[in-house]
Amino acid sequence: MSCLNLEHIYLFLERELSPEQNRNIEEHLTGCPRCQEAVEERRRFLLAAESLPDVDLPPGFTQQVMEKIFSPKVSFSSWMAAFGTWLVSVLLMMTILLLPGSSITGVFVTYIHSFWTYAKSLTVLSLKIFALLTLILKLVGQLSTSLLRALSLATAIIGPEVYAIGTTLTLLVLTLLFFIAKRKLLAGEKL
Amino acid sequence: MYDDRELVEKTLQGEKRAFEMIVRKYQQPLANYIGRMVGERELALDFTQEVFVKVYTSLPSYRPQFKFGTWLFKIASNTIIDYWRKKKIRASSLDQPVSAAVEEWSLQVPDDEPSVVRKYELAELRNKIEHVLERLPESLRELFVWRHVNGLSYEEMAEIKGLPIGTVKNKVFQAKEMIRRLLGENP
Repeated sequence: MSCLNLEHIYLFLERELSPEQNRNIEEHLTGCPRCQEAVEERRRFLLAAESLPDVDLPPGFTQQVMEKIFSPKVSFSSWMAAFGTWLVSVLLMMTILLLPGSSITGVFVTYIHSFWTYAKSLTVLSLKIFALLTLILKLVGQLSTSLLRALSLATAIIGPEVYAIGTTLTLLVLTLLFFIAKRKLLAGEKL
Repeated sequence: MYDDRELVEKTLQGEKRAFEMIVRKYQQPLANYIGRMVGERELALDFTQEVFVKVYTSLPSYRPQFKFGTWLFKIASNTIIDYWRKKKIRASSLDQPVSAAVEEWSLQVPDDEPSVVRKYELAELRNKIEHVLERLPESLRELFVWRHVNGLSYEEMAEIKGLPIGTVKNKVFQAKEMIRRLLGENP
């Protein structure tokens, strides 16, 4: 066998050759100091190349990546785009308002007047809703207080015997009503 | 421990923690690769972040029949090529021969080959290789780093670059011999 091919030496060292090719190389190496030297040279080279140091990552790098993905900051260009859109809208509105021949001052006065009228109406409406809600809350509060007082008075007056008789009678009446209703409904179905 | 496919599925279902596990797994290999390609640590860290953002936004288009790591390195490679294009750095192409000198190299072990590696201590040799790497054409450097720093297989590299395995093996060989010879020029 002639001396080894350099590419094959690397593939041999990286275990990328077939078992037969490996065997042939190993056999050749036993009797060829020149190729042994070439293999050792490249073995050492690969050893160094495959143990190059890692690029140093700062502490918290993973968190930085996650923050960049899940809480993206609005870029300057996005702010500029938003501002541009707003400016174009305002200019467009002004053009539409000024087209019929109104003056800028007139448009502004009308705009400010309308704004204040709406603001005043909205404030009055909010105050009225607030007053109404306060009144309803007060009424509900008073009603619940009266109901609680009536209940406590009733439990004080009525003894346990009367309470038991009353409950039994109520249950009886309810059962009677249930059967009457059932009978009426069945009669209705037949009709 | 989940595999990449499960982590991708969970991320697509809205589990942030799953993507965090992907980031933790790949941040170091990715930084090691990008660092050697751009040559500056801070820039490499920025690019590593950018690649993860791209990976996250492209995740719905990921097809599980491809290995996730391969897909991730492909995104990283495209990011670096875009950067070079913007900076008007003309990256060497794998389709073209690297240089006439490389093509003329003997493939057989030379008669009296000088040892350029064994005279250095291992730590010194690593340091020399790091410096020499910067002088290697980008296309060869990329394949060398993937193979010998990131430990990608020739099949994975061929898939990323869309080249035959034989071509990739030959280019990696050229890269290694070129580094060795450059080490010889740098005593």
